[in-house]
Amino acid sequence: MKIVVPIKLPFDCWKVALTTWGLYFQTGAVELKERLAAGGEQMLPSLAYHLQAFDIKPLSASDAFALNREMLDYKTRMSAYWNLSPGSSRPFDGVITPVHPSASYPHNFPCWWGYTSLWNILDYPSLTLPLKGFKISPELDAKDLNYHPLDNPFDKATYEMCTFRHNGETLILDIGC
Amino acid sequence: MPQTGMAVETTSNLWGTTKNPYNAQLVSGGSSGGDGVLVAMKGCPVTSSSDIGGSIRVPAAFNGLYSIRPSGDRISKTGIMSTLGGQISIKVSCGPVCHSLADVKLLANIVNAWPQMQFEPGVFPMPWRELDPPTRKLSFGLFEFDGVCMPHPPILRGLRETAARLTAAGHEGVNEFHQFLNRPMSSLLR
Repeated sequence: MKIVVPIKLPFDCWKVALTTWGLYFQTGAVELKERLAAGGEQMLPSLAYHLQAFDIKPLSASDAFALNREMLDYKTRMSAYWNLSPGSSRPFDGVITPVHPSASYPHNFPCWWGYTSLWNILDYPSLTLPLKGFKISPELDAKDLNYHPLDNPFDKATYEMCTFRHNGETLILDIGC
Repeated sequence: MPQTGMAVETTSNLWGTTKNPYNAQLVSGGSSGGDGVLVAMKGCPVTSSSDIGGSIRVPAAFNGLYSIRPSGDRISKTGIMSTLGGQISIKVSCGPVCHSLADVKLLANIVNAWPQMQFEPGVFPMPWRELDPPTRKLSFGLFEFDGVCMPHPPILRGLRETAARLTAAGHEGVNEFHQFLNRPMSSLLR
């Protein structure tokens, strides 16, 4: 049996997320805020957290151009990477990757969408499949007590949330192909 | 559908919170969390959800279902309403949340825009294609950790079990590749 080892994608996924969120909200989310103000609603805490984490603000046309150029650069890099498919005798048929860092999460939790939004900015088709027969196990899936969360707005909360019980749920995998 | 549509959970003033049917303390995913729960609880065999950041795939994953987010330009945008509709850099896509790969295939074929919507600007001229399964070995990359948010232990175990099953089935694994990061783009694009 061959050993399968992780691949590394040809960019910094945090920077890709900054580009992604900047593009989502090029106007600084002003349309959303106007709708919420018209209805007298408070913004969902998780969305407010994301807007702050990604420093969302109204962009000049030049700033928006720059983000679009970054998007094109990421697409070019990914395409070149896929065509090379390092370690493979031919271009990949697919990449196996998580849908999300966790099987679900508690309400009003600031979660990291980067594993799915990556394929949106690259615009690759992306399929989710349940892994048949897989059950979350407290013994096999014990928390990694030696892990030190990274210094960013998402990793520590997700790591700490791991004590939350979600035994017995089906686990799903994301395949971008 | 959550407030604003830009959340991977499903809470709104209109409908309250859509909880996860496997564990109500957890979210159903979003933004199409209602779709995920409805299909998971057999209220509906399939839904056509939309996705600009994970809104098809996260509810499918959190509810134990199959799904696909096709490339954006293979999907018609006619009739889609969005507060952020002027944002066309990262394009919304639509696809099924369902119970099987056969359903994914059936519905992805139906939502494929060409040729039915060929006069809509921007639609890829790419019809649905039936492909024979390859007779050669398949090759997969395994991307476990994006360097931002470490997946929980069961997610990593699931990925590794998948990789092991694929390898045992005779498919090709992929090795880590550091050199790529140190090579100039010009050498990669020749």
